[in-house]
Amino acid sequence: MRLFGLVVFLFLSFSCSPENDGEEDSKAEFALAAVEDNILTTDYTALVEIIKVNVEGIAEDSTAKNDEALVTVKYTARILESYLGQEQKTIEFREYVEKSEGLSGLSRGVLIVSLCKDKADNYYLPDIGYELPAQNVILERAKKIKRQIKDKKLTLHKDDASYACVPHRIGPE
Amino acid sequence: MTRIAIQHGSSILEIRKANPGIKDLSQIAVGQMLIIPRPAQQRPTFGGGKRPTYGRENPKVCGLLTYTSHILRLFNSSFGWDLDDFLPTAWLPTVNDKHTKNAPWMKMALGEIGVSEKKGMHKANPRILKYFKASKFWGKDDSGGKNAWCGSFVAWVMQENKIKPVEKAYRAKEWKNFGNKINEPVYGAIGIKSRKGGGHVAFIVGKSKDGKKYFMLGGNQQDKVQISEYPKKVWDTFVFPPNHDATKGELPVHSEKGEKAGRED
Repeated sequence: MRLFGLVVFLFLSFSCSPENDGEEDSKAEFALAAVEDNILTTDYTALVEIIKVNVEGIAEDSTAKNDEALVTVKYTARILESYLGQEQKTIEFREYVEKSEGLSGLSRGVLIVSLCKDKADNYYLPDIGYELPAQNVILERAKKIKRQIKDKKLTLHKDDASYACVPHRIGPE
Repeated sequence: MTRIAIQHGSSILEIRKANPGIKDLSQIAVGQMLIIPRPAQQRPTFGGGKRPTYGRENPKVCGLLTYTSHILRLFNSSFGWDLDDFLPTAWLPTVNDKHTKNAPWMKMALGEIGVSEKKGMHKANPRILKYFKASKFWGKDDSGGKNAWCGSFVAWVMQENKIKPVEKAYRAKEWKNFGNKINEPVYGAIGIKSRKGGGHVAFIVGKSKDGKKYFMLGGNQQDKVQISEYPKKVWDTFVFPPNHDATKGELPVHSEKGEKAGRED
């Protein structure tokens, strides 16, 4: 009976895990595929540790006013390693969230962020997907891209339509 | 139909009983009304008590007059049931065969109304994770701005209809690069609005009588898939899927009666 139980347990364990692994694998692949694009289409990318999160309230936005009101979330982060942009110890950046999207999923911990600079030289998250998990394979890819930029094997997309920080992609400022 | 039953905590048997006029439940058409009995544990007791409410807890957030999936309250006296014995049915725009023929993906999009986020951090509705997969997004949590899933929802609808979504479909603004741009939106077109740090994307299903408002079916609208009313001016771009002819389409006008019926204030 015990042997039967063990067989059932092993069967369930092995029959379930590949599917879950598959899901995780595809998520990891999706994130890995985004690293290069994120770095090349923004102004600053670094591995950071979020140390402070401050909800600043509703941002002034001439087009939104009370409709689709934006909430500004200000992050203060320690920089662990930078891949693009000025070397610095800490950074402040903002995330603009529509009220209806809620504040329950704010960023925490260690992650890779790619940021744009606005007219006032403030950093902000340009869109969804500019945050990546701090997984080894992603960090390695980011380091490689940093080297390739330095060696001029890769160039930033500042002049093409994919650049995330140009006004027509930012929307009203 | 199974999905509708599950979404509303009902069963096919109960829905069949409540809709004797519909011979084949698998053949319901877009725009057709359906009575969905509320699960027994949600039925109010007679003789007092607060009447249960449906839909949004905060109907005015973002200034959007939002249509939840539960709107029309129907009463069928022939069964002797009280009005409150029924869940309001899903509000669906009145469309004709021409609309659905020109935008066949809308059938699937309408079928997703009611899919909502799972509350709490690091949790996600498995359905929304399927949307993420369609857009190749790596998120594991369906809440918050960084996991906004409107683009992923549109990607899933397109993919299920054998239409290749745009690259980086999880970003709303990327949908500007999809298919063909159109000047005048038609039923089923994809609308995009931009803002600093993001944007929103949804399917258009109609306009108000005065033409100043659009009715948009989208994901992540009050944390769920639903039809919401937006000012026309906030939508900067409309696109139509490749290999589909937008010139044959039109945009239904929703009557004043329909708008009022849709509100859950």
